[in-house]
Amino acid sequence: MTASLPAGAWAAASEISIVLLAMNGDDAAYGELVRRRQGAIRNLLRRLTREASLADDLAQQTFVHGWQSIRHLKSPAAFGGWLRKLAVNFWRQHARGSKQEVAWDEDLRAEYPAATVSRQLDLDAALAQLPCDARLCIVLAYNEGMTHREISETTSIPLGTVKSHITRGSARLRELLEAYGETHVR
Amino acid sequence: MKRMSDEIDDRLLALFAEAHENLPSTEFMRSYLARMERVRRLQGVRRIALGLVLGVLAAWIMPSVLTSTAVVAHMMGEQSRSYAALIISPAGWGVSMLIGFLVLLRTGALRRR
Repeated sequence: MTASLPAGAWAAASEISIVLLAMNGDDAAYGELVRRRQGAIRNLLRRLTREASLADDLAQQTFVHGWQSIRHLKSPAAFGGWLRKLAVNFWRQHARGSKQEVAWDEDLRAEYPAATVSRQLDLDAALAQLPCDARLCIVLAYNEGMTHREISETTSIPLGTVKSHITRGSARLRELLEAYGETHVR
Repeated sequence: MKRMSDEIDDRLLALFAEAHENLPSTEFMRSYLARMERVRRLQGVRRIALGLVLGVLAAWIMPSVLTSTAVVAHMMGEQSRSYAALIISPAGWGVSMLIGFLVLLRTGALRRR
């Protein structure tokens, strides 16, 4: 069933052709897809979890599950979105299990570190102060460049709720970052 | 990345872009491959266990299946001599094998994983 490419040819191959090989059971092709997509998926999960080791663990679960179910993928062109949806589902499953939901009306400074370590940590810490669904919508909009409609389709959150989460979430993020000296968003 | 038609804050967008890291992949790929190896081993064990269960099940129901098949074939043979000859002919076996193969192909049972 497999018709794997020679080792040097992977870099030049288009993603669609690699996805097609992976869908036909080529493990080397799937490994190449993991190599290409790991950065994006890990960054997405880092924004959502704020914890590098947890993000990497969820990313690995995503890729293993993707390997097990890639033959059910409808179209090779949909691979990127499909993988992102898997990652989001794994994170949501984890978030539900850990029950660390934040409410909109909680104290803004409740868990915020006193010192500003770096902009990235500031952003991740501020994101952690948002309720899970709002954080998800914000990350998918700003980190992944998805439209509100795409977010709604990916997360099954109604479009109106997505818009509201992004409007409220953006305002909250600005407020948090400004409160802790983030000059870039003033 | 910037293909959003919806209302979006450019300053937050820049902040997210700045936070995007080029993460080293070596360690991640190593743990991923180790995890895949564990999953493959587990799948192998699962397949063997399933094969054993199916084998035992098949051995258990085989006598009654053979008996009822023989009864049906005998009845069919009584009804039509030519049909009975077809069933036991090499062509009959060939067609049965082909149908079985097509069913396996259709259900995806021949694919890996």
